[in-house]
Amino acid sequence: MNLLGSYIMKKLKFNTFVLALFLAVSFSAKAIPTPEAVEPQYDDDGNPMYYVAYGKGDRIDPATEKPLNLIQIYCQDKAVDFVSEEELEKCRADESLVEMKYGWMDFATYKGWRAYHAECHVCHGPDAMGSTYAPSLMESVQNGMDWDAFFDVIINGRGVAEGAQKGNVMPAFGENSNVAPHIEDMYRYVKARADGKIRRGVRLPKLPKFKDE
Amino acid sequence: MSILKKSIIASAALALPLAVSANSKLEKMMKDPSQWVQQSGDYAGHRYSSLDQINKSNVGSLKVAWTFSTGVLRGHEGGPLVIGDVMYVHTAIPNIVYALDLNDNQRIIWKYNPVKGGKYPGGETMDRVISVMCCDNVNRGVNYHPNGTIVLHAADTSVIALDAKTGKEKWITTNLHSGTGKYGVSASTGSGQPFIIKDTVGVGCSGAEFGVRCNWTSYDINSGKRLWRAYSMGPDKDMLVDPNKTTSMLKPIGKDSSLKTWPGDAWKIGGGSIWGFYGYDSKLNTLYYGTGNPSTWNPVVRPGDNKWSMTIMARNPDNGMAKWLYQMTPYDEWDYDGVNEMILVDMKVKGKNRQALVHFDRNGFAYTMDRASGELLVAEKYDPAVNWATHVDMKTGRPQVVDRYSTAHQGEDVNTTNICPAALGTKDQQPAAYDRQSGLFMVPTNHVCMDYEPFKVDYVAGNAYVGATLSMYPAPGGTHLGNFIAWDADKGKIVWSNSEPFSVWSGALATAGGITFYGTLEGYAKAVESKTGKELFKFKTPSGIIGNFMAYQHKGKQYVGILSGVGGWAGIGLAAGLTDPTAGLGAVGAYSALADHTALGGVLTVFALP
Repeated sequence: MNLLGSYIMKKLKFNTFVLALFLAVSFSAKAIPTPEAVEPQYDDDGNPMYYVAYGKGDRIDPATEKPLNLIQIYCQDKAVDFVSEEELEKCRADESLVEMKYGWMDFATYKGWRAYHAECHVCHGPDAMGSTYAPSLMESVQNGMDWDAFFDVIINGRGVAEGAQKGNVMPAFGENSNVAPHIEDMYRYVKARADGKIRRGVRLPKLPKFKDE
Repeated sequence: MSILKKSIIASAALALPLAVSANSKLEKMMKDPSQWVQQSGDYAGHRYSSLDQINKSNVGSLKVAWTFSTGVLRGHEGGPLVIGDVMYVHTAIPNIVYALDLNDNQRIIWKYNPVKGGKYPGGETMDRVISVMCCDNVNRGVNYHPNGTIVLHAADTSVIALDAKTGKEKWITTNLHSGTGKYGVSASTGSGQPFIIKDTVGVGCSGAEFGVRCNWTSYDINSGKRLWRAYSMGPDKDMLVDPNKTTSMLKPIGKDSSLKTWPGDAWKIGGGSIWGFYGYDSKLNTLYYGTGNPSTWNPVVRPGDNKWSMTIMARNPDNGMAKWLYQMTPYDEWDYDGVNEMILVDMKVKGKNRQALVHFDRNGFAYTMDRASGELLVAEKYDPAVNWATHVDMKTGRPQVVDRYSTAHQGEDVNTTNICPAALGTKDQQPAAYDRQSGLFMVPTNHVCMDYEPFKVDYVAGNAYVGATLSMYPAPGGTHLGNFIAWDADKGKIVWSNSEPFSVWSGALATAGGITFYGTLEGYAKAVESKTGKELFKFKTPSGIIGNFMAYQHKGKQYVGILSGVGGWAGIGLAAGLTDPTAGLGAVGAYSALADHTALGGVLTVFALP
């Protein structure tokens, strides 16, 4: 069902990016058309999956002068959220180790990000990264929480934890209309974060809504 | 209605003779610098100690005198009280209260835990209460009434009067159980301090992120009987406003001032929570507090000014009637709660002696008002980064909103970018102090901006009702997330400003020693010279600080105390760091996460000179 013929960008050097940005801004941000919509994705086992397509800059945000569809930055082939301080230092010193990927996530994954902000964000923190109060969902998925477990906890909740997490509780969202219909999409979003496909603070690099959704 | 009115008047009249003496007794105790008898130190919210043993010449040699673990991990806001030789320390959920004997190596005289068999006194289970608390299970401290009562406003909204000597319950009342929602209870919670005035105790409520309609409720301190309740929005009779006598910007507010500003009956889930730090002027007999954000965070579904959310309220504490109101952020589009502390100072404003009220709002403006009349005197930005409004029109009192940063103007499903401040506000609940020596206000602030995309959500009773996506990052041009500033409330200008890597989320304490104390999210307890901001002392406490500094004197020696225990909104927003990775490549500081510096744990640290 890959309608896009998406392509992975060549390794983009940092200074090339700056130059491209400069040109893009000076020529009044010529917009590149956004690719077509894709339907919500599933993996071979039927688990909900995100979809990311890569391409060149779509729109430039006039306020920040940054492209709006920068999905992820890689430092030595690792998503920048997950690299160590030393690795980051290396990338700062040697810009050729830095790769920036522009593109779009599918609308379903974007909806998951948005639904995350309806209820989850006030405890689980920004960008599924956790807080002093509630665990990082991104890490939970990295550490093996699969789709079934993810679904179960959101529907049924968890009681008061003991030990170090005493005083924590996960409410049940099975009857919450802002959450229950969107759990597949939330999983897509969290999984994409866990796999290093979506950077922090996404600024709407989304594909259009799929018509049948 | 008339019966209710009569009973209010009758109980107020009955309480009066006793009330006056209790009031003056408490105010007398507030003047004694060896004690710390209310969360803010005094009714005026100065957070000022006239003790000067610890001063700018010797504070560098300050040492830890003793520490006390609360045994609770969650975020610790507020601070301890000292009454005579006893210190009272509260905790986050489960809201334990300890009485410590300062004469006997801080031995625990009594310990009170409201949660019995997993249930709060109101009958709610602890896990249910936790599940409806936005942004961590904090509590902003207990307060004291001179009839020998310590009052706790527990997370389930129970108001609990404890015998200060024994810790035994005198009375318990559950403030808000509306009987709505899936679990048959409301989503209101209690996190704000209980506020003592005369022979009453008043409480607000939390839960604007859960679509509640909040109110202030006053109880009789001796019996726990409810005296009056004033909602933040709704019909005039619910709000205890008089259309002809209650004013805003010096004019009567008129009939149905709130109802007219909401679509349909949206006011019924209108938010307007009250959970900050309050003020009381006994000469004017006026209570001052602020109301929080309108629900939801999506402004598109609630066109109108959404009165009286985001409002400073001045009320008669005897019957609740509002004297004046001032709405700082009509039609909130950014979650700029108006709950922050009210600081009452008699000062010169523009050459004229004023009974002033100074308020540092989440929206980034610092307001100086005449607290007797409600006249707006000064409204200036206390962080130059603030951009959502150009200025406040002094004639109408309205902020002049910039379309570019208006999430309603940009619309639903549109990401409005680079709004300053972020939803955390230029300052959240962390209370400022007033330095009586220099006349400056010592203000802990945030320096964070955001992208905000409102979207449609359904109201589900007892669940979060937010409806906006949020990405936060440091304000442009820097990598730091906070400043500690000195503010001139007459001129409306910053006098000095110290940048901090993280938001400054602790309450400040100014002292007669010419120094001001504050804490940082990494856990540093700091002392700076009040006049200049020069750092004179720092010590890393066991956890990040979101509590408030206090001072007392015991056996002739001055002590300064602070609760550490990271958490709260700050811990949720900042634990993982805020920064977009693009900034991470350029700047080490901004990418750094709070979680790299500190971990959970409630500990009281008390400092003294060696």
